[in-house]
Amino acid sequence: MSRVFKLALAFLREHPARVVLTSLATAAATCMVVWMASGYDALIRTFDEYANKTLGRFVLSVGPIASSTDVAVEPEVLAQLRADPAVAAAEPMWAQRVPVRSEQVDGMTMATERAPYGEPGRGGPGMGRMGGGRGSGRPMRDPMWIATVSVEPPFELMRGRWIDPASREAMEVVATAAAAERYGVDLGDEIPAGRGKSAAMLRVVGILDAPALTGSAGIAAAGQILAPGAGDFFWATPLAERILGRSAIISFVGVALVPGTDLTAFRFGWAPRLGRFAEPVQFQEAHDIEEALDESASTNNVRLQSYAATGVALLVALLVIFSTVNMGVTERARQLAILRAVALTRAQVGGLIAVESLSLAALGFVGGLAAGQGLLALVARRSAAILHHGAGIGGQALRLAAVAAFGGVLCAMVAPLYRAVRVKPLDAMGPRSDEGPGKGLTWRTMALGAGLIAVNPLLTFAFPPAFGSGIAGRAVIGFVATAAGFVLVAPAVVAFVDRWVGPGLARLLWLDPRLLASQITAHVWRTVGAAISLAVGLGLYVAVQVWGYTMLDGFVPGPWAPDAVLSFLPDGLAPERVAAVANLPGVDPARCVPIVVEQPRLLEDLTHSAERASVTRQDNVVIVGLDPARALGGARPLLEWEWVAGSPETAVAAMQKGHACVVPDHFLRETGLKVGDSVALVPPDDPEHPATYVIAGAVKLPGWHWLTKRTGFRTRTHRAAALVFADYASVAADFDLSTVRHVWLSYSSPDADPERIAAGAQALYRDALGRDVALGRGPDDGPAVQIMPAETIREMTRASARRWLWVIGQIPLVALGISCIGVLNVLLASVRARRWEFGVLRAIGFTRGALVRAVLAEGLLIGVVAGLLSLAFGVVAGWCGCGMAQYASFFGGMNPALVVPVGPLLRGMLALAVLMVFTAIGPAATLGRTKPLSLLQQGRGTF
Amino acid sequence: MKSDVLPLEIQSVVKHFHAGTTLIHALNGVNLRVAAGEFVAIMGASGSGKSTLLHAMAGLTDVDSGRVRVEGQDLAELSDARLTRFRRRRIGLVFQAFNLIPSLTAEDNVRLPADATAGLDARIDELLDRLELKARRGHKPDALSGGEQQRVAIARALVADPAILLADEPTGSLDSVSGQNICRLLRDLCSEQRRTIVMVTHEPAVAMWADRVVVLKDGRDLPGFAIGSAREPQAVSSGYQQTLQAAAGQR
Repeated sequence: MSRVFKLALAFLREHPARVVLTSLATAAATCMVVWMASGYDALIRTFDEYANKTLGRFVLSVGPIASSTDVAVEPEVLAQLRADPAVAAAEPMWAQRVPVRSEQVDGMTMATERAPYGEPGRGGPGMGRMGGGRGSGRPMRDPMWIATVSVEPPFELMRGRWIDPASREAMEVVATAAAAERYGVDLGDEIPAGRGKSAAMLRVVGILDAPALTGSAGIAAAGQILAPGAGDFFWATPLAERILGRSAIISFVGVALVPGTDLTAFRFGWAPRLGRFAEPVQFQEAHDIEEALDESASTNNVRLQSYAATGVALLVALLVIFSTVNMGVTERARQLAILRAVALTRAQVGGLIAVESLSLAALGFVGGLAAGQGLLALVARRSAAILHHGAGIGGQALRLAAVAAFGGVLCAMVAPLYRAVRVKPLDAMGPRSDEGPGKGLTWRTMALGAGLIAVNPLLTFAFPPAFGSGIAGRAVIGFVATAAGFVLVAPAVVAFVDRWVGPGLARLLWLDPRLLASQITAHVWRTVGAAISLAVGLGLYVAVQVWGYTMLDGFVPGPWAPDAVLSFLPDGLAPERVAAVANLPGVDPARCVPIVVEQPRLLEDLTHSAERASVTRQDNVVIVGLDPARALGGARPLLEWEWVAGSPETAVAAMQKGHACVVPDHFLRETGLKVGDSVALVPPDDPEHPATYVIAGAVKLPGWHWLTKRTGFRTRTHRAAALVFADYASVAADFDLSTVRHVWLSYSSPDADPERIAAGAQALYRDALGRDVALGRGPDDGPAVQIMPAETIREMTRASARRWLWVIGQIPLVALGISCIGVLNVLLASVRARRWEFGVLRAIGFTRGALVRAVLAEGLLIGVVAGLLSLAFGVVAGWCGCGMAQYASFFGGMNPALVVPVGPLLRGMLALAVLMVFTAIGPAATLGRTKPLSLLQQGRGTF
Repeated sequence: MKSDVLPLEIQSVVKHFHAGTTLIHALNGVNLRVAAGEFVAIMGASGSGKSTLLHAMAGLTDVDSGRVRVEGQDLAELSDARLTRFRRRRIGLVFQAFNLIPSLTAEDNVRLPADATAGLDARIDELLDRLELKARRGHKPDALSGGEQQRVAIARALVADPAILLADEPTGSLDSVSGQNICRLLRDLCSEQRRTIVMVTHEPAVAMWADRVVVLKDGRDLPGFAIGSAREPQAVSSGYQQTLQAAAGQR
């Protein structure tokens, strides 16, 4: 074996630049995994620390198995605990989320709810600190207030004193240090808690040293744990009952045991009793809490992100190492034959390739760990806010980094190893010959490739799956087939680019086209390998953009949405007064329609939401009542829809007769209903008398979700199956809507000012009510006028999606950058292999500038091949991804049309072009600096 | 090795190749016995089968029928791995194109086939000294002349003290002076160390250094002839031509 190691080392030393570049690429990929996975490690470590401290002075928390602030522990549990001689203290606590209003709070946002495309995790620039105003636009979750009768605080007091737990009148509260910082309060400050009639000003009398989690994942996870550490503010139970206007319940009980009590024996003794209570309860020690945190959905998201990064890094490492080792086997074919002839068995030759490959991976792994650790330390020192969950390499990061580096190399060396062991000793006896052009392009290969590419669209669209059945399997088969198909057609793309792009590029760079002819087809599989390694990152980026923008298309309010919704909150205007809105400056009087809105349940679960809920499968709808003739009729109707069933004329006629409705197209798909069928709705205030509406037509309503959310149409619950339109009279009567809360309007001119319209409406409302009316959100939910332009909703939706797509697009772009290192290897090898040829060209009169441009052009041609492959793969993968999402994702069901976002894709292609120029510039410059005679002499060589 | 076991014995070896649809009879029942310490040159025209015969002797190609025995070992009985190890230890190969590993130094190239045993370093020192390579031991092949490279190749072939040294056109890539020096070296190795050497060549000026010449024609071995002590190329040419004519006359 020492012979093999010695040879492997000699081979590695022969091309130090190649070793450095390959190791660098692998290290960069490993570093990316470390960066992503360290967030998970830090989160878990944080959870460990948090879990150990969150119980405070208690050793157990006893709470309902259904972890919710609305579910109570029976008083009998408390009584039995207090009766147990092993229990030193059993303190009941009432946990409630109570809103807090402060300047610091009002400007803050946080992505706590799952955004349309998932929860952002660790990201790069742009994520910012939680609470820094750069979230998804959703208000922060209200803080947790814990009411207690305990005379001792659960944690140590940093400053001040504890509350009087028996007092009903003393308006005092104790804050945790983290809550005090978040809300900008300190000892002696007052904090306004609650809203409306229940609002109160409480004085902060103490600051507690309580554990806290930061970062969206941490906070989301901690929100599911009921323990003293979940509290942000602590107040007396009698005071809480007075302010909140209801009796306290026991959310959980903090239990302290008599010193010397065996905790395990105590739990074991209590175990049979816990399930016998009407509301079963559970004990939670620190390790139980840690386990619950580790298994939370938000933690899973962070874990999945680290897996995704590992997968991409493994692919990058695989391709870069494969390229290097495969090149080596090709270049050393004769040497391997000699070694077979004089010294090595097949197994030893295989060992040689394995040692070489594993050495590259090991260098990359170690380098990547060091770089990752250094990067984390640097970022922690300069801008710790980016590291939501902290910094540190733990077991998960190490494991995943090893999987990426060594998993990649194990896959990468299979083909080169096979080629190497098949080298015959007899090959050493033949005359030395240069490697001829590779054979890659056959019609059979292309046909097979095209067939494989077609598998994914067929499985997605032609033979669609049933929901939840075999989606993962289809996705794996489909996407693997797509990738394999593009690898097989890649030689054809190389030939196409060489034939049709090469000459044009040559002219652009003032090159003799003969210099460029066949450069990339001469070693077609080397070109394919380089292009594929670039296409991994860029193809994923394109796929993410296509998928994201296509999915987004169903959620951005389409052109059907009128310009704005004007809202009179909270109680609305009388119908006769609303007519004046049409006369406000900026409003088109012919396209201004008052509406009534309700969100009733469906009498039957027509969308089968109980089996599987989604954005189009819910148990309720939003119904809008309006004047059908004004809204849909006339030369310039307010609502200009794309009809998929029925027509404006038939729908208006039916709606004017009453109890007819127009529904979105996906509603017909999900329910299996058609025009003429009926839908029964349950009025919330009169559930005994459902209202039935006949479907008069179906239309496309892209973006109705965000429109109804932002305008406040969803009054009852945060999800709805459809936006349904019926006549005003029927809806008002069926759902007892006597006033008009909303007006849908179009602008009279493109430069109409919505603020001016709102101001005019404010005056109207003020006159009607005889009191002050706010603009926007009223204090204590008082009267207010709000205007929500459709364009604002579109911008908010697009901006949120763009942010999210940028975050998840970072990994592929980083992978693209890393792959360029591998391509640099290929270009260096290409230049090296052609040194003699370049020497001859210089000798016969080609300038160094021409040769430099030739190498740059070769790099750009590889980039063009990669760009075309990425574009095609990305569009197919993104499109099929959207298709699969209709059967697998909560956000499926809208069946959006394919959207190819030109802007982001152009940016990606531009990034590729710039990267390729930078990649090729090194080899080109080296070639340009070398004298012709040196090129001729260097190109001679022994082999 | 037993004294009565020949270093090399070829018995009725037949080897065919397919070139497209044409069957080429490269070897047609060749017989050859080489005694210990003998230096045999194999001559023949292009396509006579001499390279194929050398490949068969080295175990680099298998034969369709017949036997190739090296030190009594039938090469066909060995698996690929065992054959490789046998070849490494008992057969030394010298190629026309030197075939050194460019990333290894001269010494490391010599050391390549050798098993790590006691006395290896001393043996390598001795070899390098004998072949006048001591001063060049640390150089890589691209820093050596053609003659030096071939000497390194010869040293590599001898480091394991093989039973037989097989040389395929060892002077083919050298100038005439360097070529003659290599031939003289092989001759000296044979004389001094009783090395058994089989050399394929088409040059009379190279073949004259051998003890005898075996002539191949159309895959068959013809009665060879001995080389006189005068070692003259013309004598070898003459002997070669007479052998061919005699074979032609018999037909």
